Amino acid sequence: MNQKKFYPNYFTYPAIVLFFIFYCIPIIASFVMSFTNWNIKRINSPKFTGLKNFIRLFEDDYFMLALKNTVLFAVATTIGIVVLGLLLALLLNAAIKGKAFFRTVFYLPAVLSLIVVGIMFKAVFKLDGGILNQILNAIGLSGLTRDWLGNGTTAMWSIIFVQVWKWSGFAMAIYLAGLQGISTDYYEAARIDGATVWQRFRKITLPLLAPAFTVVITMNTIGGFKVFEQVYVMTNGGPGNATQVLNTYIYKEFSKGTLGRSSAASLLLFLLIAVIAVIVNKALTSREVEM
Amino acid sequence: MNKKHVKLMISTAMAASMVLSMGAAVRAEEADYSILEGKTISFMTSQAKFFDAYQTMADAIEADYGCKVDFQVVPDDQYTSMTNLKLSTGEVPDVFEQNYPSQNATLNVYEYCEDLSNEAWVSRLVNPDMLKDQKDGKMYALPKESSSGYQVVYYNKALLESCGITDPEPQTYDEFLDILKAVKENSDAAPFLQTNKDNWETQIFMTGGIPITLGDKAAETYEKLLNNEITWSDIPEAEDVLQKYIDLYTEGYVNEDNLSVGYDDAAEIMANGKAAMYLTVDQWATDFGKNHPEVELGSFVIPYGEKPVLPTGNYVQGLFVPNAGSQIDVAKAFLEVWSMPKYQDMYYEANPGYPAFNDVNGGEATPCVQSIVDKYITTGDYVYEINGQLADANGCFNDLWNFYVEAAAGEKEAAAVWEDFQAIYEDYMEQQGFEAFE
Repeated sequence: MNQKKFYPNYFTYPAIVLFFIFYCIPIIASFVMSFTNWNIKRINSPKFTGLKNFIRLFEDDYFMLALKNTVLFAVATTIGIVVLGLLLALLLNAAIKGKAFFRTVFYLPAVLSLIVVGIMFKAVFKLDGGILNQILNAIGLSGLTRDWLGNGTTAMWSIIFVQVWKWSGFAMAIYLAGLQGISTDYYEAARIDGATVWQRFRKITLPLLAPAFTVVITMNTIGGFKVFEQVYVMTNGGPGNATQVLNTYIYKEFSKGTLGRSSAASLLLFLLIAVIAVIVNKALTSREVEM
Repeated sequence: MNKKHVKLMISTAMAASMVLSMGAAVRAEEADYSILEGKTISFMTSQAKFFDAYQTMADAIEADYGCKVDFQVVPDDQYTSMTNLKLSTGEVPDVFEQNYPSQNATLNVYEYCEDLSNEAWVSRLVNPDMLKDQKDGKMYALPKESSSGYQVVYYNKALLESCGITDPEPQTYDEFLDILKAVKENSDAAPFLQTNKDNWETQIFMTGGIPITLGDKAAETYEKLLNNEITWSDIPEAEDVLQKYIDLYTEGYVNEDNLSVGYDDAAEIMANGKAAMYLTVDQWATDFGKNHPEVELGSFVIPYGEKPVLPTGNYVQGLFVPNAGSQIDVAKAFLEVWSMPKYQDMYYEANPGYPAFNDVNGGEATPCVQSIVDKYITTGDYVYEINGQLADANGCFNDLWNFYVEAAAGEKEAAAVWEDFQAIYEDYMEQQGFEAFE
C-alpha cells in the first residue's frame, strides 16, 4: 500500500514565529529606522527624515571609499579563490601521491576562525620581525620589505591575500566534488577523437563544472561584500580610512551612536548584495549544462 | 542648664562629630555585603586600562565576600565603539571602565548609566567637584585616580645621554626639535615614537597642543565651535599644531612602522632602544617602570607655546554601572567594596600614583611622573585637553583622529583635515539634535 504521510501545518508554527521575531522584525525595524534620525541621544524619539540618510551617505567621501574598497575586495577575492581553488582541485584530482594529505592541508584554513587567521597574519605582515619580511630578507629581496599593513595600498591587498588563502581550499573541495561527478567516459571518448588536454579541459571539464562555479562564485561574491572580521582584526579600517569597507563603516557609524545612518548604510549593503547575488546566480545558472 | 549638663552636651557633640568624621569609612567596612555572596561581576575594560593589580583586588574580594570578577578586556582600538554598542543595545556588563567625566556625553550616561551620587564612597573622594557631571552635577562613576592624563614625552635616559643630551627640558618648540635632530644624527633609534595603529595615541599631540596654542582664546573658541559660529578651518592655531605634527614625519623623526604599531607595542620598542621618546599618558610610564625597571625614563612636556605648559585630561578612569544590567544592586555593592582602602591600596602598591579616595595610600609615584606633577600640577601650569572641553562632540572625534593618521601617512594636508572634519562635525552635531546645527 503506497500511502503518503501528511503532517499538520501547525508543526511549522514555532519555527515561523522564531523566524519572524529574530529575522523579520529586525529587518523591518532597520528598514524603518533608516528613514529617521534615530541615534544614541534620541533613542526614544526618532524623527522621520525621509531620504536624508541615504543622500548624506552618497555625499560622504568615506562611504564611497568604503563602497569602492568593498567592490575591489569582493571582485579580487572572488577571482583569486575561483582560479586558485580550481588549480588546486585539478592538481589534487590527478593521480598523485599523498593527495588525501594535501587535500586536508589545503582545506584546513577554511575551518580556522577569521579572528585567529587575522591575528596570525598580523604577525606575518609586521614590518619589524614579520615573517614575510624575514623571508624576503633571507632570499635577497630586502628592497621589497615594507610595512604591509601600514600602507593603504598594500594593507588592502594583504587582506585580500588572506581571504584568498583562507577560502581557496574550500572552493577546491567544491570543485573536487564537481570533478568527481564527471564521467570518465567523456574524457575517453574525447581522447579517442584526438582531443588535446586543453581541449578536454575547455570542452568537457569547464562546462560540466558550471554548477560548482555557480556555487563558488555566488558564495564568494556575497562573502566578499559582507567582509568585516578580517578588516576589523587586521587594520580596523586603517591606516586612516584606507581599508574601510562597508561593514566597518556601518560598525563605525553604529558605534558613534548614529543608528539611523548606520541602518541606512546596512539597508544599502543588503540591497547591493541581493541585486548582485541574483544577477550572478542567474547569469551562471543559465550557462549550466545537464550531465 | 547647669555646668554638668553643658559638659555632657559638649562631650556628646564632640563624640558625635568624631563618629561622623569616621563615619563614611566605617559605614563602608561595616555595611552588609552578603548580597555579593556567590555572585559574579562582569567587568569590562580595555587593554590599556587593565592592570594586573585588578586581578589581585578581585582575588581578595572573592576571598572576603565570595564574589567573583569576570574581566572582559577589549582591545584599545575597539573599546569606545564596543562600549557605545553595548550601551545602545542593552547587552551590557555589570560594570565598565571609561574616561570619566569626559566621556559622559559620548556614552550618554544620562540615559544608560546609574546615578551614583548617593553612594557611600562619594564622601571619601579627594576632588568630587571635578568628577561631577557638568550638565546635571551628578556622579556617574567610581573614580580610580584624583587626576590623570598628563600628556608628556617620556624618554629613554641612557639613549639620550649617548646622544649627548642629559636631562633635557626644552623651553621652546625649536629646542624640542633640536633634541630630535640630535637623536637622529647620533643614534639608530627613531627619535619620536608614534603608535598610530591606535588613533587615540595619534591625537595626543593635537589634543594637548591646540588648547595650549590657543591660550586665552581657548574657552571662547570652544563656545563658538559648539554654537556653530566658526568652523574648524577658522582656527589657525589648530592648523599650526597639526602642521608641526606632520613636519615631524617629513623630517624623518618618527619610526617607520608608526602606522602598524600600537600602544601595546610601545613599551617593548622603548625598552629595546629602538625609539628614544614617546608622547603618551602617565599610566604608560607607571606600567613601563614596573615591567622594565632596568630602563630609566625621564620626562618633559612639549613646549607648544611661549613656555612649557602641561596638557592634561580633565578625566580619570571611572567604573560605570549600566542601568540595563541584570544585577544593579550587586554591582553597586561591588563598587563600594572595590573602593575600600584595603583593595585600593593593593592597586596603588603595584601602581603608585594619586588615589581618588582620601583614605587610600597612593605610595611613591614613578619619579618621571612625580616630577611632572611637582613642576606643573602643583604650580598650576597646566591646561585641559581639547576633548573634555568639547564633550558634546566627542562621538565624532574618532573620525578626526583617523584624519590625523591620514595626515601622518602623507595622504592629507593639515588644511584638508580641518575642512573634511568640519563636514563630519556639522553632520554629527545635527544628528545629535543641537539647535545651532539644525
